Amino acid sequence: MVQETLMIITLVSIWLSLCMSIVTLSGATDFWLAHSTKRVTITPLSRYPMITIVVPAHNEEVVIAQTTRAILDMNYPADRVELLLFADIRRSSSPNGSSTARSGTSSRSVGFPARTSSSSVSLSRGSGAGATGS
Amino acid sequence: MTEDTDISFKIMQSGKLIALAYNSEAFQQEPERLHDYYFQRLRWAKGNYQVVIHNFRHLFDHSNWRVKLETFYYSCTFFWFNAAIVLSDIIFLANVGTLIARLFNPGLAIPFTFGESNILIMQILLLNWLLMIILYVLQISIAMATQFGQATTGQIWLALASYFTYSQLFIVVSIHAVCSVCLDSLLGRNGNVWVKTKRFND
Repeated sequence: MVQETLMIITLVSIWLSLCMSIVTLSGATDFWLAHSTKRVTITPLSRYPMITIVVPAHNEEVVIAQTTRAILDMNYPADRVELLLFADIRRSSSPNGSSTARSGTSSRSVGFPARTSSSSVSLSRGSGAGATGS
Repeated sequence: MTEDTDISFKIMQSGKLIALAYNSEAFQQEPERLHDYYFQRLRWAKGNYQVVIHNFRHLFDHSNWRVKLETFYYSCTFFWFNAAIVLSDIIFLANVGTLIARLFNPGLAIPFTFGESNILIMQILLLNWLLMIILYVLQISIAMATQFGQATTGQIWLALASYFTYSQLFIVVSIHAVCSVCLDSLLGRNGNVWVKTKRFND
């Protein structure tokens, strides 16, 4: 009897979870069918505010150059983007990844914040960054 | 530890909406070793459990209804449905174990059954399982169909194979995460130790 009750509870629970996934799946399909045929046109914005992107880059030296490039290749004027890479307490002392990113994106504003004390972080802004992000 | 989930809940709680950029594309680097992958997903699972536990009280107060709905959905999936899957796995393994043991000792009775002679219910349950697997493959196929060049025959077979491998790994991940979250609070440990996912060069 205990076994049968346990089996019934398990079965009903799993059926309910299946109902839930069918609901989300049909919702997603319905949304996609309605939106996949829409042609998306990107109209220029009336103004491009300065935006700041913060990337936690702890021990990311292997991929940080790629990440930086991808962020700056976004559909937003690169000179209106301020990119801050935070690489705190790096495992290796050689700044290999950082220098690659720096040389690859010299004209863009990439900040390399330096850690000054254990509690505060000072942000050194790149050359292209004029105004602070709103 | 899953700051993205956490911030979504905070935004919803403040009454703001989150816009969906359905046409945006995102890429991420997946860990290339099982060990790294396991600990990344374990961190995500733990983080999601922490967010759900943290927001659970909002089910019963005057919170934003979106927070309630999302908490309800996550609670069902993470606690109730996960428990049901673990239970059904235990039932399945107990029965398979008994069937194997019966080869040596024919007197053993199968522990979980609605009557061993009940062929009809067995057929219904087997069909049920088959439909579940089809639903799983359908979910992945639909996701692949939204991306150009992804829905190939090979990929769909991979999706089927992942039911028996990848998905089973996630049962282990979720049990590990629940145990870890429980032990953290029992022992007063700091559960927010970030396991950094190893990155790979192409």
